[in-house]
Amino acid sequence: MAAVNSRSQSHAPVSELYFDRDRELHLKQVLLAIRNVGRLITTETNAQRLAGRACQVLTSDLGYHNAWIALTDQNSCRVTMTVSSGFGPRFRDFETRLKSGEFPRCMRKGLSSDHLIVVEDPVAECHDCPLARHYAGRAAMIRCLVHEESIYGILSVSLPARFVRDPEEISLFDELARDIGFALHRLAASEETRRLNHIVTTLPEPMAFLSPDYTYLAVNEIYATFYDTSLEKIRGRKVVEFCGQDIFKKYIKPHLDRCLAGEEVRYSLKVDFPDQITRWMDMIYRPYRDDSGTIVGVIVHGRDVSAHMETQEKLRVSEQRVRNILDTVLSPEKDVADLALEDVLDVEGVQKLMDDLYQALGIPIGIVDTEGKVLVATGWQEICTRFHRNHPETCRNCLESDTQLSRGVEPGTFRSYRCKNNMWDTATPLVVGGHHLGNIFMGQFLYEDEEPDLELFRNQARKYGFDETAYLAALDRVPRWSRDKVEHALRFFAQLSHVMSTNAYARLKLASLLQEQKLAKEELARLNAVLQAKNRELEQILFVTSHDLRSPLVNIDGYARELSLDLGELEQKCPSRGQEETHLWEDIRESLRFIRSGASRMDQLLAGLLRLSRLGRAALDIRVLDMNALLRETIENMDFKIRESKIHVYWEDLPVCLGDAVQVGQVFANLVDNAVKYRHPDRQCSIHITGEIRDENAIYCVRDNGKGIDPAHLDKVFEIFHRLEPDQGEGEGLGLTIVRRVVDRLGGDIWAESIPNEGSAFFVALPRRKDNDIQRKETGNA
Amino acid sequence: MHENVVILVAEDDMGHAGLIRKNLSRAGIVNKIIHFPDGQAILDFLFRQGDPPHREAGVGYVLLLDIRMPKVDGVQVLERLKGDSELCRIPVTMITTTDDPREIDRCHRLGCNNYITKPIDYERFVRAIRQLGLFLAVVQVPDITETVD
Repeated sequence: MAAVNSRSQSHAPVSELYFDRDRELHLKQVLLAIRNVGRLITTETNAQRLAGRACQVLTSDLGYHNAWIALTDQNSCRVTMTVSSGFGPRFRDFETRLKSGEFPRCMRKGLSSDHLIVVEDPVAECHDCPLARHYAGRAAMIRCLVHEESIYGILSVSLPARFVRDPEEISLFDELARDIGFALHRLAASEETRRLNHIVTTLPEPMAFLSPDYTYLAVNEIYATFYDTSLEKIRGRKVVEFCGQDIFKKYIKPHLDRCLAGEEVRYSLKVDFPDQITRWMDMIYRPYRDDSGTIVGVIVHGRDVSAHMETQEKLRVSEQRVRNILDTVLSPEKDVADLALEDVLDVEGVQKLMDDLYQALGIPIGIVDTEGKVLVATGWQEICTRFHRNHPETCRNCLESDTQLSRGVEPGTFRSYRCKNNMWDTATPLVVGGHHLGNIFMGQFLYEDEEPDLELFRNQARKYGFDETAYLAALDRVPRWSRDKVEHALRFFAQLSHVMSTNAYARLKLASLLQEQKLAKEELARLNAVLQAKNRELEQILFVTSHDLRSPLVNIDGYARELSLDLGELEQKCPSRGQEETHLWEDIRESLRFIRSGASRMDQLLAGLLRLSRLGRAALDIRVLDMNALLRETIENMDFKIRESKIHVYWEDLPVCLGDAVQVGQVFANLVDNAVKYRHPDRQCSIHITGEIRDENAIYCVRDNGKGIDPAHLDKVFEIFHRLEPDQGEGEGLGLTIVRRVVDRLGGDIWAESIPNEGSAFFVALPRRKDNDIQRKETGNA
Repeated sequence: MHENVVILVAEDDMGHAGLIRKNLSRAGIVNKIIHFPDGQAILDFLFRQGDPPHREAGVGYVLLLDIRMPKVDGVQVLERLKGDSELCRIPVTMITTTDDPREIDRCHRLGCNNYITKPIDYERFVRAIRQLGLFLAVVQVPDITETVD
């Protein structure tokens, strides 16, 4: 076996004359076979049929003794089909081998090269091939069927061994294999095109190919369906013929023109199709360019997004409704007037209620808003639903009756009227928050004591083209009520509508109030947070400054004392001095005393400030306080002062409260201390402490019989450094400030009452239950 | 009190330093006193960094330490000393205007030996200084890097 280049030159060593004749004949036969194959190639559309018939043609004109073709898949690993000619049933074994993937050597070699493979003596060379022994002195030529690198299979023919090295033979076979390869390639390509075409044709989204003059060159099936026509009828016609001049000019042409100018265009469009369906279409236009890049058409792709749009629209409407309600609830300036009745009415619930009522009593009811929209309806009469509401003119009568005749009825009252279609109807308004949002209608009915004017209804039937018999029969079925029954029912509905309106309004108002309250609470919380931050900042400043102020005081007092000590030493060293000098000494001493007492006073103030700042920063330990025990302890600690001044302190059984034991003790110590400090000089000081429960608080009162406070100063007693009598006693003027600070932090309150010369009463309110306010203050300061 | 024990005073207020010196001497304490104007200076002395004077071997020291000082404050100095395996043995007395219980607690937890608030009441201050003298007298002041006695 040898691979032979088709250009290789070789000669058979046989008698030349005989050989030439023989050769010429054979070449002619081969040429004939090739021509026939060429004819096949142009007409055959199926690859397998092509291969089969080519095999036959190659052997029928004795061009080749026998031939076989194996078509393979893309990777040439699997044989998809085999055909043969000239072997008869002897080919079967070989075919089985090929299909099971067992390829003979010649085929393996042929598939892997673009060259002709020649087996000069298959009988001698191919021991493992079942086909080899049928070659009987003939040689085999094998070549793969290939086009542009794509392999489609393999072709093998047998011919007398003497021709096998003839370059012309070789080149003819080569050409033959190439032709078949090309034909298979063309068929494969057209099959692919056919598949793609099928995909596009059956695509569930409309697609079309338009020429630059807006003519349909091709459309897919769904496109034609949308326009209720066939593929054939749409091809060659213009877009405007299908969508109409208006839509074409307004929407389609401008977009197509942009696309024809080279732009990819997307837009949405609402289209009324001939099948009565309005669809929302998302359109995409893509320019189609020929080989030279010139735009020669537009590919139109539409997507039916109606379902999506509908959902969106529904969502929008429902969102709008929720928003309306929320707006009314959330913003004080919005009012019920901005709402529709269906926004405030539980339509579904009321509908059920009315259905039941109709079942029980046979009273037809409708609830209609001021725009004439029917929200709730039950027990409507056939004469209305089948006739009046079904004719545009009578239907307009209905709507006008519903909206106009029902106007101006006072809430809680009702009005009976003959509707514009001559039925009796009654209306009572639904008024929410002073706004007339709709009406409850009871009807239609006829009064028992009143015969309907049949002539009038016959006229109506004629005028509007109703079937007279059916119309009058429907009239006959309209309920006939006594005036008494109507009166009762109406009163009931007037009352019902009043209740429904009031409820709806109350619900809205309540929601609105709740919202206001929520906003107010949020604002309060924000302000509280700001306040706490400010407080902490102030306390920090207070702490730092009182410290820094103390430092120089140490020097002022320290060196003033050094001076007086030095002065003493000096006095000892120079004991004798004149009167003037003695005066001077005294002056110096007095100055030093003032300096030192001033420094001492300032130190007290700073100590007080420090205590105050520390108080604000100290963590609170909130517990239930046994006030009786706490007060006993506080008074015991002050025992000395109290006994010394002969003070009478007594208290009644005090209620418990919540607070920090240390700080509450401090509050009462300060209050008692104050009472002692400002006692009346002419009588024994008596301090009476009482307590009571008021709402959420325990309120304690420390009452004395002291000097009292001028009402004009009462507000100022809690101010920092405020002292009513600066000359009296020590005190830094911080006692009550500290008290108020403590009470504030504990979530309580403090205030004072006083009558000058009779005594003062200080009230301390402390919480009895742990509410958020305290907790917040705690965490804010912890 | 061992007379060779040196009293170190770290105090940024010269007036306060003067008062401390006067009152120590009035209380009969005659030991050598070295004054440092801020926390960095005392650290440099003790850790023997920067310019001299530096701590000497074989000498016992006690430290009077103000809290509020520029550069390095007293609490930081205390922290550094107590974190050092040798210097932690120097007795430290905090002398400050702060009588905030939390600050006092913090210094005690860091390992200060005594805490005196600077009172305006001069008598109390003197009493406190005297107590310090007494304290210095009874405390076995360890001699760092070398054994004492």
